[in-house]
Amino acid sequence: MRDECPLSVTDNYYFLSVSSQLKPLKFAASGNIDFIIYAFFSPAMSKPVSHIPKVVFVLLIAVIIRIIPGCCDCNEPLQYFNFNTTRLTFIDNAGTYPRPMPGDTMNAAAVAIKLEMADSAGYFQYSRVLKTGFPGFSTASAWCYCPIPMKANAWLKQIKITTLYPISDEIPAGTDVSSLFVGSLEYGYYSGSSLYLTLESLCTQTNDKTYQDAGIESFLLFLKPEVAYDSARFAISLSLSDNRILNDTTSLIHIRR
Amino acid sequence: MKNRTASTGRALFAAAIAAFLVQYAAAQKPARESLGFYLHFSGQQIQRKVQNSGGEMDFLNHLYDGTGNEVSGVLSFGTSFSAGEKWSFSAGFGTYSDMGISRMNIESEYLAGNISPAAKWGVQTIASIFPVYINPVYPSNHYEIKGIWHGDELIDVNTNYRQFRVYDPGISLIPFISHSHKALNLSAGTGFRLSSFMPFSERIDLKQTGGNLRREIRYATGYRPAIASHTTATASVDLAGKGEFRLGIQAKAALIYGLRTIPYTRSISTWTAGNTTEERIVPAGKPYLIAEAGGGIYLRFGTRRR
Repeated sequence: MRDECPLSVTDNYYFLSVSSQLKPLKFAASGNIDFIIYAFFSPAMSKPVSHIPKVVFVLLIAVIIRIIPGCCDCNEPLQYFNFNTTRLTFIDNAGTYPRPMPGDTMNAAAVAIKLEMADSAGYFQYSRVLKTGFPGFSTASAWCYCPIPMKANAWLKQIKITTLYPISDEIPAGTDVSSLFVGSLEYGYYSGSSLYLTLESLCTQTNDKTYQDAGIESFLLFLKPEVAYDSARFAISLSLSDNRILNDTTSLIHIRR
Repeated sequence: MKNRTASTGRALFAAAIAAFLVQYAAAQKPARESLGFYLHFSGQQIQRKVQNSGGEMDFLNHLYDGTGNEVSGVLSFGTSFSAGEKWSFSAGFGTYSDMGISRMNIESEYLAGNISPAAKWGVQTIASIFPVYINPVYPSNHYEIKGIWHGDELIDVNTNYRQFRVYDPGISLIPFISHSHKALNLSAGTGFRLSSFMPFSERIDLKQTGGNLRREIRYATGYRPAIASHTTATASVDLAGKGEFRLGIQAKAALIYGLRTIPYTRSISTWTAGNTTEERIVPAGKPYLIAEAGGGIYLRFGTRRR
C-alpha cells in the first residue's frame, strides 16, 4: 500500500493543491525546485541584484504547484468485509459495448446480466466516509487521499445459474445453464483482450483479492445461445469459500426478436 | 511490439557500429583524412504488386495506400569520413514528409585495388533500415474472420483507422568500381542485401451486432530473412574549393529487388481465450522493389580520397 515517491522529497515545504481530480494531494517541495526555494528565502535575496529569481519564482508558482508530484505514505490498515448481499440488474449488450439497461427487454442473442456482491454494511468509497475535505471546497485537501484496502473474508468458489424458463427445445426450464454463460469484470474490457472470461475465471480472481475503497465485486454475465422463447429468467446461486451460499433471481426478461 | 522493434534496432545499430570499428581498426594508418557532410533529397519508390491472397491477410498487399506502388520524398543528411586512401565511412539519416528520423544508413567502403590508373575497385558494406507503412484492411470474405453469426454481422470494435510502421533492416555487401577524373568521381556496384521485416502483432476485436458473441483475431509475424539484389551508383563533382575545403554536388541511385513476404501466425478466439484455433500462414513471395534516386550537396574538409 505504500506509494513510492518518484522524486526525492524534503519535508520542509508543503503546498496546497487545488485539484479537480481524486489524486494524491500531499505535495512536497522536491529537489527539483530546491534551488528556487533557496533563492527565494535566502538572505542574499535582499540584494537588489537578485530580483530575477524572485520574479521567475512568482511567474512559475502556478506551474510549480501543478507539476510537483505528490507522494503519499499510504499504510492504511486492511479492512475485512463479508459478501452477504447481491444485486442483479440488466445489461444492454446489443451494441458494441455493454451498458446499463433501464428496461427488461433484450435481444434474443444478447441476454446479459450484471451481478454485484457486496457487504450489506456498505463500504463504497469507504475512505471518503472517514475523511472529509474542506467544507464547500471538497476537492481541496492538504493531506493524502489514501484508499482503504479491503479484503473479503470469504471468496467466491462457484457461480451456478439455472434457467427458470426454457431457452430452447433442447434447454428446458430447470436446466443448469452455468456452462452456457460467460462473463467479464465490469471494467475489465480492453485490458489486453476483448474476450469473455469463463465463470471459473471470474470466481478464481476473487481469491485473496484486495479491493480498493469499496467492498463490491461486480460481474457481467452473458448468455451464449439465443433464447428461442419470449421470456427468460434465471436463478443464480453463489457458493462462497466459507460454505455460505447466496441466492438471487433475476426479474422476468422479455425477449425481443 | 515497439519494445521488440526498438531493441532489435539497437542491436542492429550496435552491430553496424561494431563492424565499423573492426573495419576501421583493421585499416592501415591513415595517411590522409577527410571529413564531409551531405544533404540530399531523393525520390523513393516502393513497389510490390498486390496479389490475390485467397481471403487470407497478406500485409504486403496493404503497403501505404494498398495500390502496390508508393512514391515518397526522402530528405537525407549525414557525415562521411575517409581514413587514408583505402577506407571511407559514412553515416546518415533520412526523413519522410512526417519529418521523423526513420531511415538510417551506415556505410563502409574499402578500395581493394586498381583496374587502371583512373579506375579502382572495392567492396562496400551498408547497414540500412527502410520503414514502410502498412494500412491493413482485414479480409471480410473469410467466414471465420468476419462473416455472419446467427444472421448478425460481426463488426470490428476498433473503428480507428489502422496504420503502423514496420522497419525493414538489412545488411548489404556490394563490390563496386570507381572512376575519377579531375573533379569528377563516379562509382557503381552491385551485390546483395540480407534483410527481414521486423516482427509485429495485430489484434482485431469483433462483436456481434445485436448479440453477445465476441471474437478476437491475433496476427503475429516473425523474422523472415530474404536476399535481394542491391545496386548502387554515385556521381560527384567538386564545384568549388580552396585549400583542403571542397563544395560539390552529388547524385545517388539505388535499386533493391527481391522476393518478399511476411508470414504470420493467426489465432482466432471465440467467446473465451480457451476456445482458440491457431494457423500458420505464409503468403506467396512476390517481387519487392525499392528504387531511389536523388542528389544534393556535400562539403568536404581534407584531401580527396581518390
